[in-house]
Amino acid sequence: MKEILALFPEPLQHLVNMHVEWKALQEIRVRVNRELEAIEANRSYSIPGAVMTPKELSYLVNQVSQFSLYRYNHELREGFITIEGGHRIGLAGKVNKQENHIETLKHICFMNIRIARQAEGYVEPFIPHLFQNGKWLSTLIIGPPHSGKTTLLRSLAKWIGSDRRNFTAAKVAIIDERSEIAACLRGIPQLQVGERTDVMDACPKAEGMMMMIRSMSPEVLIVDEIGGQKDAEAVEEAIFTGVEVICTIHGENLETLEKRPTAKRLLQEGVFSRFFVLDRLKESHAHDIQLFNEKGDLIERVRGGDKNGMVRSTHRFDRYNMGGI
Amino acid sequence: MEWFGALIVLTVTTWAGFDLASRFQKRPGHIRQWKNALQMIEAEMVYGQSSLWEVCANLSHHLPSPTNQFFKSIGDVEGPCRDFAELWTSSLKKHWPWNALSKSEWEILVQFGRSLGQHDLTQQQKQIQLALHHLDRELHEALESGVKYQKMARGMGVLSGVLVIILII
Repeated sequence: MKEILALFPEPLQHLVNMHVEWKALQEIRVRVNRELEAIEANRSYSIPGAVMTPKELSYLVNQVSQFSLYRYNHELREGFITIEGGHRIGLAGKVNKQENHIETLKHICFMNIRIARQAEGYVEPFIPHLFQNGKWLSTLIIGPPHSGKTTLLRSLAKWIGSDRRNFTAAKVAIIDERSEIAACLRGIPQLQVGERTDVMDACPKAEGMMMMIRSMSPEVLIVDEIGGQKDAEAVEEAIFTGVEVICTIHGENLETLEKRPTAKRLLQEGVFSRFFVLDRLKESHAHDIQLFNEKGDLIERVRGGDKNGMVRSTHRFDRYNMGGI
Repeated sequence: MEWFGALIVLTVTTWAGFDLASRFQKRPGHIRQWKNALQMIEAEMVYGQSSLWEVCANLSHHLPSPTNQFFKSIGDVEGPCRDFAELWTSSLKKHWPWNALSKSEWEILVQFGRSLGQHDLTQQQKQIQLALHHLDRELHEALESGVKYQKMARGMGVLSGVLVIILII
C-alpha cells in the first residue's frame, strides 16, 4: 500500500496511515474541501482532519500523473488512471467538450482511489463445470455493477492460464479495453492473470478479439463488458472460429438480460454453454455466485459468508426459469 | 611600479569588457539551444508519450553544453519530487551562471516550468509554442543588439581602463 500512501502530501500521509485499516480497505474517496473517506466492504468512515484543499488535490494529481498529465489524454477521457500496483484512480471534475464528445477533463476535484487486490480461491469449485472433455466452455458472466464480475474474470484467467497439478495451462488472450482485468501500466500487467496469458491493453473489443485470434492463436479469449451490437457480433464470430470466449455483461439475472436486444441474440444463438450470475456485493455476505448450464439449470452455487470463508450451498439443482431457451 | 599597476588595471578592465562582449556573442547561441530543447520536449511529449523524467534524461544526452547540465541536474534529483515547478526554478537558478541568457529569458523559462506537466497534451503543446514564440522574439533582439553591444563592451573595457589609469597617475 506504499504506492497509495505516497500519493498524499506528507501531513496527510500520517493521518491516513493512522486511521486506515489497510487490510480491509477498498476505496479512498477524495473530494475537494472535504475530509478523505475510507470505504471498506461493510462500512465507511471519514478520516478526521484530512481535508483536501485544491492545493492538496493538485499535489495528488501530480503524483498520480508523475507530473506528466499530458500523457494521460486517453485516460482522462475515460475517467480513470491506472497506477503502479494496478490500483485505479477514478476522476471527476469539469469536462471540456468539443463537438459533442468529451475532449478532456479539467479541474479534477473528485477522485476515487480503488485499491486493487488479488482475490483468489473462489473459482475452484466451478472449474469441473467449466472444463469438460479437455476443453473450456464459453461462459457469460452476468452481474450488476460492483458485483465482482471483473474479479471473477481475472481469477478465471489466472486459473486457466497457469499450470497446476493434473492440469496444463491453456493459451489465454485477454482483451482489456478498460484496463480493468490486468490493470496494465505501460503494457505490463500489474495483477496476476496467469503464466500463459497475453494481454492486449486498452484495445476496442471487436477489433481486439479478431487481432488476437489472428496473431496469438489463443484457446480461450477473455473479454470484459459486452456493450453494443458490435461487441456481441464479435463475440459470436470469435466463438464460431473455435475459440472459447469468457466475457462479462451488465445485468441483474438471466431473465432481465433477455430483454436487452444485444444479449437476447447471444442467448438465443446458444453461443454460451455456461452462465455465471453474480449478486451485488452486500454487507451481509461477500459474494454470491451461481452457475447455470445452457439449459438454465443451476449447477453450482458459492456464497461467501464473510471475508475469510466460503459457504457452499447444499441445493444444487434448482430449476431456473429461462423463458424460451 | 606605477606602470606595472597601470598594466594590471588595464588588463582587468579589458578582460571584463571582452567577457561581457562574449556573453553578448553567446546569448543567441544559448537561446537557440533552449529553443531546440523546447522542440525536443514537444516531440518527446507528443510522439514519445514519455514522462517528464524520461524527457529530462533524454535531453541531458542530446543537448549541447551548457543546457544539457540543467536537464541532467533535474534528472539527478533523488527521492520523490513534491513540486516540479519549484525543482525547475531552483535548478534553473543553479544553472544560471553558466549561460549567457538575460533576465527576460529567465522569466520565460520560469513561467514555462510552471506549466510543465499540468495540462493535457494540446494545452501543453500550446504552452511550448508560446514559450518558443517568446524565445524567438528574444533571439531576434539578441542578434540585433549583440553586434552593437559586443563592440561597445570591448571598447568600454579598454577605455575605462585607460580612464582609471589617467585619473590615478
